[in-house]
Order: sequence, then C-alpha cells, then structure tokens
Amino acid sequence: MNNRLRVLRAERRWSQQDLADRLDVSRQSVNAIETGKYDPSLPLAFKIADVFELAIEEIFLRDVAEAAAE
Amino acid sequence: MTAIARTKPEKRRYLVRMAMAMALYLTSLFAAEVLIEERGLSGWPAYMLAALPGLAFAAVFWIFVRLIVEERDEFFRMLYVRQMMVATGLTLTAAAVWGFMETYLPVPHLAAFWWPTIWCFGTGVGAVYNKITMGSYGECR
Repeated sequence: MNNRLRVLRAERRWSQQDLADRLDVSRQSVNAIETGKYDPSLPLAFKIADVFELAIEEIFLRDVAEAAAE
Repeated sequence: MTAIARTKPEKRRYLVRMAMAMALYLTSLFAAEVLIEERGLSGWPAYMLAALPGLAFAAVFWIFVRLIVEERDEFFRMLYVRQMMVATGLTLTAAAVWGFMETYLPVPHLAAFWWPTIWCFGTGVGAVYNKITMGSYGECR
C-alpha cells in the first residue's frame, strides 16, 4: 500500500520523531510506514488521519497493480 | 534523567524480568553443581533442583511473550513476533537435523539444554533479519 505520509509531514515541517510523538508510536514505526515496509492497522491509520485532519483514503493509496486487478 | 528512567515501561519490565530469570538460572545452576555433583544430593530434592535451571530458562520464553503482549507499538510487536518465528524455525530445524544425524551417523550427542540456548541466539539472528528486511532491530533483542 502506498501513502503520502512523507509529503504531508514535509508540508507541516514535522520530523519523523514529531509525527511519532503525535501518534504515540516509535520513530521506527513512522519510518517503516513511510517507506512502505509496514502497513498500519486500521486504528493506527485512523489516528494518522486524525493527526493530519484528512480522510484515510487521502493518505493511503492502493497499489497500482492492486487497483488494476479489480 | 537516567537511561533506565527514559526507558519505556514494557521494556523496563522486560529487562527486570530477564535479569531475575538469569539470576535464578545462575543461582540454581550453581546450587545443582554444588549439592548434586559435589555433595551427592539424591532423591526428589535432587530432581527438583536439577529441573530448576531448565525452568528458569523456560521463563525466557514467557518473558518474551509478555513483551509482545505488553508492547504498545504495533510495529515493534510485529518485529518481536518475526524474531520469535526466526528463532523457533532455526532451533527446530537444527534439532531435527542433528537428531537424525545422531541416529544415523557417528556425531557426538548434544545435551537437550543446548536447544533453548540456540533459540536465544536465534532471536539475535531474527533481530538482524528484521533490520535487513524491515529497517529496524526492534528495541529488545
């Protein structure tokens, strides 16, 4: 799953640690989500959406191959 | 602020529990060496004392599982589960391979207490595997 976390974070001039503190998770978690190595659970995805004041689908995007298969 | 005070509560509990388990392990091992090996303790007290180091070692598994249950960061939780799976896979594979080698070939017998020891080394391998594939070792290893 792709996401716009890095761009959204950069727009707000937040470091990974800043975002991690807001989400109450580790900086490593933010890095893993940003780099696409880890897909967050639904509760964490909602928390991320709340922090950015956006809808989940404005942050997380389906893979192109996944979308094409449907 | 000291390093231990900055540590997350679940990690602090993990470290304290691990230290207690290792203290029990070393104490019971020393007691078994002295009382059974040197002073010839026998009967059910000897059986109970001989089981103690193994039970202390078993506590390591419980401590690791508690870490997974208590960890609040879901990414770290996943890393610990992967770490345990790597360690368990390596240990069971090594035990199976060595068991068959002992059956069919003239290889030396390996005492069973080496398998949990290998499992502990396996968690280290699991942490390295996590670093390579997920970018992080996790916090406890």
